[in-house]
Amino acid sequence: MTDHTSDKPLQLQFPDVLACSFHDIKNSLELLSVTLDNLSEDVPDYPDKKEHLSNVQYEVLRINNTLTYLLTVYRMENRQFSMDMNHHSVHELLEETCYKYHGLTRLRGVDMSMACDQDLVCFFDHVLISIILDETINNAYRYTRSQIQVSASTDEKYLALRVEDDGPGYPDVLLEMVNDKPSELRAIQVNRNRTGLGMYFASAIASNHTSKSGDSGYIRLSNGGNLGGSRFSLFIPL
Amino acid sequence: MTDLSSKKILVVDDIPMVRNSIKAMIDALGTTDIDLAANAVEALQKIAVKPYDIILCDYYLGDGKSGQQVLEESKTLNLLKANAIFIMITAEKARNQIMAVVEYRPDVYLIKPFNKDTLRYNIEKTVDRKSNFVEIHEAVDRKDYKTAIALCDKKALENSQNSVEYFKIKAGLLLDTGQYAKARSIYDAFLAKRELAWARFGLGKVLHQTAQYPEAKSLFLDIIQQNETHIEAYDWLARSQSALGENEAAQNTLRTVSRLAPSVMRLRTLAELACKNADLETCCQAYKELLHIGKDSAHKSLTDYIHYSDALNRRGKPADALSILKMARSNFKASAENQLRIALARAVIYVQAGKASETGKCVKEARKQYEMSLDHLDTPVALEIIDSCLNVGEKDYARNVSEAVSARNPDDHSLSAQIESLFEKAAEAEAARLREKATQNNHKGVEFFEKGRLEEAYASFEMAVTGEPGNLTYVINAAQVLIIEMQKKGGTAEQLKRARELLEISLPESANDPRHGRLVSMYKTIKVKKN
Repeated sequence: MTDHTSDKPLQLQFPDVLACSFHDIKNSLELLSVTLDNLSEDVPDYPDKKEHLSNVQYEVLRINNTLTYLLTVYRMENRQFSMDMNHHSVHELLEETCYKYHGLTRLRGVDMSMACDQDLVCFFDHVLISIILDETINNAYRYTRSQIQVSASTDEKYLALRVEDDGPGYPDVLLEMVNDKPSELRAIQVNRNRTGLGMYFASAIASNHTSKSGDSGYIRLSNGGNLGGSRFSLFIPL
Repeated sequence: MTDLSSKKILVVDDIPMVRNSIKAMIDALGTTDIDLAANAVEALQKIAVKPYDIILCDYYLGDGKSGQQVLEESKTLNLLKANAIFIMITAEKARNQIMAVVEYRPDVYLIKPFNKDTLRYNIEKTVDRKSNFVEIHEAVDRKDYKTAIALCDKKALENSQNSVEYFKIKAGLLLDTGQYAKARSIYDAFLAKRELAWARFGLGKVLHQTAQYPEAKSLFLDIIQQNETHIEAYDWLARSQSALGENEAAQNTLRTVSRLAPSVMRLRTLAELACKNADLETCCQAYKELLHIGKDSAHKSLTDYIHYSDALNRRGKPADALSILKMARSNFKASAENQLRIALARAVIYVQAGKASETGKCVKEARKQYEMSLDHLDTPVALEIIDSCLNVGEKDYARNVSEAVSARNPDDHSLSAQIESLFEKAAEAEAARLREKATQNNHKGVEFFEKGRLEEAYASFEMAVTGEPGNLTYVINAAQVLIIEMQKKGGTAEQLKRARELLEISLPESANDPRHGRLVSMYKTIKVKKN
C-alpha cells in the first residue's frame, strides 16, 4: 500500500484549463449550432417553435462572442496577443455577416440589408472586427422591431462601419458612457440584458487599429439614424 | 452564385455528429458527391485517389494529428487539383494561422460555430476568389514566370478588390526569379504607406538574397520580436546567421523554430548544419526527432537514415549506427538503389571497426546491385555511393558511378571537383595504409635480421619497399640483406640485377647512410653463382 500523505496536492494551471475549456466550449457550441440548424429545417410552420429556436440560436451566438472576449482579453494581458492586420474586402465582411444572421433574422421576420461599395478594400483585423459586428448585430436583433441595416463608408481618414435598427434606441447611460467617457468604459451592468462588455471590447479593438499618422479607431453610439432606432458606428483609420 | 451540385467534397472531422451535420449542411446546398473521413490517415487515403474540389477539414483530428498535416502532406505529394479549395475548420484562427507557412496555408479558416449559410458563403466566395488566381498558379506550375507576372499586372488592374494580393504574388515571383530590385520596389512602396508584415518579410528576403546579411539578420530579428510565432522569419534568420558564419546562433535559431513548428525539413536543416559545425550531438538529436516525426511523412528520406547512422558511427556508436540502418531497411522499399546504399553504409561501418569478414559480406550484398541503371541517380546519392565504395575498396564501381554521373552533368565543375577530391582522399588513405604496412614489414625485417633469419628478413624488406617505394632506408635494408646473403653463397644473375637496382635507387640516400658505400664495395666482390 503506497502512502500518499507526502504527495503534493495537484495544482490546476489556469492557462491549461483556459485553453482546454475554450476548446471544449467551442466544440459544444459547434454541436449546438449544427443541431439547431438541422432542427430549424423541421419547424418552418410552427410560430412558437420558431421563436424558441431563434432564442436558442441567439444565445448560442452570444455565448460564443462572450467566450471570444474572454480569450482575447486573456491573450492581451499575457502578451500572447497580436493583431493580424491585412487588406480585406469590406463588402465581403458585411456580406458574410449578413449571411451568418440570415437564418436567425428570417425566423423572426426581421429584414436585414447592407449598403457598401463592391470595391471597398481596407486594412484591419478581420477576425476581431467580425466579432464586433456579430455582437452588435446580436444586440440589434434583440431590440429591433423589423429592420437591421449594416453599411460602410469612408471619408478622408476613416472607414465607418454602421449597424442600425428600428428599435427603441440606446439608453442614455450607455450613450454617455461610450461617447463621453470612453476612458472609463468598463464592463458594467446596464440592465439585465446589457452589460457594457461588448462596448468595452469593441472600443479596445477599435483603438488598437492605428494609422501611420497616429490616428486611432473608436466607436460611437447614437439614436435615430436611418431607421430611427440605435446606431452603432465603428471607425477604423485608413 | 456558383453551382456546387457537381463538386466533389470531402469532410474530415473526428466527431461523427459533426461530420454528419456538416454533410447535411452541404446536402442542403445541392451537392450529392460528399465523402467523409474520421482522421488524417483516412483523409489522405481518400485524397490520394479522388480529385476533390472542396475539402473541409477540422484542425484537430485526434491522435495528435492535425488538419494542417493533411494539408501539408496533400500539397507535398501534389495530390490536390489546381483549383481545389481547402477549408480549415478551427476554434480560433490566430494560433493556427501563425503556425502555417505560406505555401501550406488553407484557402480559408472557418471559425466554429458556423451555420449552413456561413458555410455556403465561405465556399462560394473562396471558389470564386480562387478562380481569379488559377491562371497565375498554373503558369507558375509550368514555370512560365514571365506569363505569371504579366497576369498579376493585368488582374491587379481589372480586379481591384484583390489588387493587393496580386502585388504580393508578383513580388514573390520577382523574388523567386532573382529580380530583386523590382521585388524591392514593390515592398518599399507598400511599406511607405503602412507597416505590413508580409512586405517587411519580403524586404528581408531581398536583403538576404542580395547578400546584405547583417541588415537581413536584424530585420528578421525585428519581425520575430514583434511576432514570435512567425515561423518563416526564423528559417530565414538561420540562413542569414549561417551566411555570417554565426553557426552556433544559426543552430539555436533552428532549434527554437523546430520546437515551435517541428517539421522534417526544418530538423533536416538543423541536423545538416550541426554536422557541418562538427556538433555531432545536436546532429544526432535532430535526426532522432526527424526520424520520429517523419515516420509516416511524404518527406521521409533514406538519406536522413544514412547520415544519422554515419553521425552515430563518428560518435563512436557503431552498434547504434547499424541499428538505424536496420530500421531503414524496414522503412523503405527494397529497390536496387536503396539496397545498394544500405549495404555500402553497413560495409563502411564494419571496415572502420576492423571487422573484415562482415565488411566482405556487406560488399558482396552491395555487388548484387551493381547492374542497376545509373541513369536516374541523384547527384548527392551518387557522391554518397562513390565515397562509400572508395572507403571499402570498391574502386572500379566507384569509377563507373563517377563516369555515369559526370556524363550526365558535363558542365558541373563543382561536381567534378567533388568527385576528384573523393578519389584523392581515398588514394591518400590507401597510401597511408600502405605506408603503415610498410613500416610493419620493415620492423619485421629488422627482427628477422637480428635473429639471423636472413631469407625471411629479405622478404619482409622487399615487401616494405613495395609498400613505400620512396622510402630509401627500406631499399638499403633490402639491399643490405641481399648482398650479405650473396657474399656468403654467391648470387644468381637475377639477384645481382636486383641488388644493383636497389643500390641505384638508393643512391641519393648514400650521403646520409654510410652503409650504401660499404654495400657498393661488397657488391663488387660478389661471385656469380653457377646455376
